[in-house]
Amino acid sequence: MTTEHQLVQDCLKGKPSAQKALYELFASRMLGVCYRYTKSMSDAEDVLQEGFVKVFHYLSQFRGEGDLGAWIRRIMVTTAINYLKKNSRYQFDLSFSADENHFLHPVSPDDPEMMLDAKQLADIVRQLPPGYQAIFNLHAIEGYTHVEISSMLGIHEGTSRSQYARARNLLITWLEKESESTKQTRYARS
Amino acid sequence: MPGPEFDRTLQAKMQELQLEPSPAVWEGVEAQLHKRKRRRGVIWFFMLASLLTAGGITWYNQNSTSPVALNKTENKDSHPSTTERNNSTLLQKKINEVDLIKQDKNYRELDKTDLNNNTNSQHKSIADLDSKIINERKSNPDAAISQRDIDNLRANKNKSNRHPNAFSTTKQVELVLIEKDIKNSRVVTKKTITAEVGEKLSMEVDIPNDPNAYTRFSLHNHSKDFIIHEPRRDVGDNNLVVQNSLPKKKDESKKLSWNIDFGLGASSLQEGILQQYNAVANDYLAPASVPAGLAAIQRRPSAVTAAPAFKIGASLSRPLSKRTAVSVGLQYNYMSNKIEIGKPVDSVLTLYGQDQQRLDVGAAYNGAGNNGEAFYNRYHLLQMPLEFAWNFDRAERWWWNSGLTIGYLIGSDALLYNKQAGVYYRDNNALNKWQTGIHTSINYGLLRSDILKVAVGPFASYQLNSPEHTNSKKHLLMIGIGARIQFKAKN
Repeated sequence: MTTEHQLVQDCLKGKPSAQKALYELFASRMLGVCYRYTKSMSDAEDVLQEGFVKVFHYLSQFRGEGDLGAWIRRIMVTTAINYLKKNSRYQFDLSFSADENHFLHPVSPDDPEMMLDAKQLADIVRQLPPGYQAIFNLHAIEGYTHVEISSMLGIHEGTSRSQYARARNLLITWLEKESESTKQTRYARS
Repeated sequence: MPGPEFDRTLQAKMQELQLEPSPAVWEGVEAQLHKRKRRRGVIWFFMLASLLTAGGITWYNQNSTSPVALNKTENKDSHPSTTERNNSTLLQKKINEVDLIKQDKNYRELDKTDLNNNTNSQHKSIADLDSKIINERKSNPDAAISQRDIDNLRANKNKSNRHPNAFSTTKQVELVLIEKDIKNSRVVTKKTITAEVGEKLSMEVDIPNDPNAYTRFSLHNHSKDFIIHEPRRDVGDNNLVVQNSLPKKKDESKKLSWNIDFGLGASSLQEGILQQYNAVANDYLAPASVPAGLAAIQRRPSAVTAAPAFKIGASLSRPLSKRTAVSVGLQYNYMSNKIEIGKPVDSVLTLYGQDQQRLDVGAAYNGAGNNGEAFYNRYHLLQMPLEFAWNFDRAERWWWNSGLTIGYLIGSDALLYNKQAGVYYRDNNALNKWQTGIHTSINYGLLRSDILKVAVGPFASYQLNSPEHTNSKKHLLMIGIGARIQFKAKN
């Protein structure tokens, strides 16, 4: 059997070394997930901690038929959503009042991966208002449908669609601005 | 405006994000795990203590013959313990959040066979690749099949309540299969296929000569009703499979599974579920019509106390929904109770029963009660339990089972008491062979593996029929700790 499978079995037996090994195997990847849903590293680590406690608690439900990473990831996403709902700082009302044109970190819309690394992109997404941020992450990154998102967040399906569309447009606007800015900088340097 | 390519690139990029957490996170996780372990230990301790206390009280009360003591037992038993209720509520609250995870219908199982056959590194890379593909597949706002179409299909499926795949066989969709070199962000091949939702398509694709080329396949319209099984390049397989991706779990959940049930405990003779049978009140103090000329000396009947009991059987269960199941099986029950009797006085004795019928019995014992000789009335029952199970926690660990049993008394050496003669005698013809009963149990899932599940918990079963034809007040009650080993249904 695979190492992951063995690791899960050892964790189920309560072996601390296996628990730590499992944590170390997925922690950095999962912190990346938590980071996208929160506004600060401290909050992301809180979610990560809470998520891993759940992972170990419900590990017996993992039947080993799928990808362990995907299973853990779903726990992290759910934990992050619940964290946002519980935490008043995030004001999870999904209403958008921010100025859509205010300056953020603009990047190129044509080829974002050429210009920015994953963290820079995540940082841009994190500047969306909490509701937009969550919906964008859930739909665009995790691949949840709007029906599922509406169930998870307790909002109407139509709201999820419209908020996603607005979040996407907003991101594209920012990326276009960054593209212009980058071009000007390059031109000035040359 | 950037198209689907933008979304896919963004998605792929974001999924790469890895950040190193501070050491404090693991310390926090570790501390909470220890805390949970301690709490679990305390819960088990209290459950065991409550069980032992309840058992002790029952035994104590059963050893007392006074009707007053029996009433006390009844009062105690009639008040349910709040400890378990509180524990259950606490557990329920703690796992509410994970419910959302379970509602995740997006999750697609990976091909287990493929994964198991791989080496560790290959396993990981293929699993990662599949994960990426699955996620990528889900995000395309410009899909040929709109989300509304998919939702409508799903709504129709739910409405018709048919097999998950049955609804879709009438609709054809056109899928554009894209083979793409990820490294260079360019499309290598495009294939257009027409498929019915629910259909499994298999086709051969060219494997790039460059072993390092990182290509993958996706569906242009990103229909969520399809899943792609990539060719196994590492073993020279170039067979691409496009398959209906509706969850298989619905089918699996309906599969039958075998269980082995056993339990150990004590059984007693009851007047009601919570009231022990009072032999003195019923067989001695109650007025009995003694036929003329039969001035038999009445001796007090012995008190009936609890004695060991056990059950073992097998059953077949079938889930009705995610949280409910039914099962039917065959079970052997051994029940006993203890009385005190005197020495046998005759091998054949003629007695008169309650309704004056003449009884010729094979064995009789005088000096019933207080003679210090213990006798165990033993009952061997073959039962067919029909059971309904309900899972009442989100973690699917706690199950409440209840149901009916139909049983046949295949053997017994129980003694009956003749209240006119004041003697015990044996007459199996006076016993009710057919028995119906009710039973209930609460099971906690202790162990889950790929092959089996083990659950343990307290149980109680109560026979609705009296074991004797002539005395309808007697009922057998069995309580104890039971276990169920459930063997996982094979795919």
